[in-house]
Amino acid sequence: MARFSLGMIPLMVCLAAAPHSRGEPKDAPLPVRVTLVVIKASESDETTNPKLATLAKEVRKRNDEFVGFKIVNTLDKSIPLGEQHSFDLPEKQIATVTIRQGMDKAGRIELIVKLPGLDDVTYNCVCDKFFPIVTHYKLKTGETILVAILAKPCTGK
Amino acid sequence: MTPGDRLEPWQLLVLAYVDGELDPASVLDVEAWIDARPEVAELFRELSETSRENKTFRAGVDFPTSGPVDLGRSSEMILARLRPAMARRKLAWLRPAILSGVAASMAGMLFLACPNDRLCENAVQSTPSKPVLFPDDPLAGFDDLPIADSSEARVSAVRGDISPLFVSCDDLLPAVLDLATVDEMQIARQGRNAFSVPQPGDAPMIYQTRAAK
Repeated sequence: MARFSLGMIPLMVCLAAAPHSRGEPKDAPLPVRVTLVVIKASESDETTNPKLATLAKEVRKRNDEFVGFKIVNTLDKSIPLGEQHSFDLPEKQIATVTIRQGMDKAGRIELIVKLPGLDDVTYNCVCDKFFPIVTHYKLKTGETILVAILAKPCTGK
Repeated sequence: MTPGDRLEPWQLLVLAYVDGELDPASVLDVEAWIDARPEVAELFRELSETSRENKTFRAGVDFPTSGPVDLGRSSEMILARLRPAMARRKLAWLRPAILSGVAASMAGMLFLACPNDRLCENAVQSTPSKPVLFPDDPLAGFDDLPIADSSEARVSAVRGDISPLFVSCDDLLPAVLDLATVDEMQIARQGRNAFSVPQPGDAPMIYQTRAAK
């Protein structure tokens, strides 16, 4: 019995150490996949992308001079917790998104967003819902740039 | 070479040459390969010895011994010339043979015209069974380009309103962008930006159409 127990010690040590030798712990936070939709709002072109119907309705509540909404770009990036990524906007402008906190118990993810001409915005939001930010940056063609941001944990799907 | 060996297209073309099945222009092509590539010349000799139909083929012909092979003859032109013979003899192998032959022509040209060039070195090092058209051709390893399905590719950016036409992968966006409600988000810090919720029930947003003051 004593020989059996002594022989088992190295095996038990190896088994105990195994989870720690695989690099990241099992419950390491997942990176956050950020989808940033770049939109331009026009005061003359009445064309609106159907995907933006709800957003257009809400923005018009603030300013009914915006009559058309088009998607300029849809950008998608997986960003690790605590890190940031810069998204290219039209006319060499940049939007920077930092993952401040992963999904909490309420299912919200906290981001810091920096857009041209605006102060940093720190907010949390549920997954699968977009949060719009209307900037005062106007393109050379006259449209106003706004973005809609969605963040959700990366699931590999 | 044994009867059971599978002939490469360029070998078939040399065989067609030995059998007298090529038109004069193609004959010149093959003869240029024979002079430029020892492997082709060796095959030609081997085939000639075993063929009873080629006794007079090279008799009295002054083969070119130097100078680049004329690549202006495209494979389609050669095929057009040979189409009657193909139809008559059902030479289904001739198309790849012609393509391979053009490749061999290019390899021969590289060998003769620019021996010090890096491309030439690659061409000389290649075997005649696998002629090198472009030494760094990224498609060289593919007979048919494999296409990723939607589970194997993910779009990281889609340009503007053309996204409905983007059919290769799943669209990044839902049918309608669903906005968060006041209960579903919270502003922790907004700086001098305007946080806007006109009426209860409206979707919150940062609405800053003027420079923040």
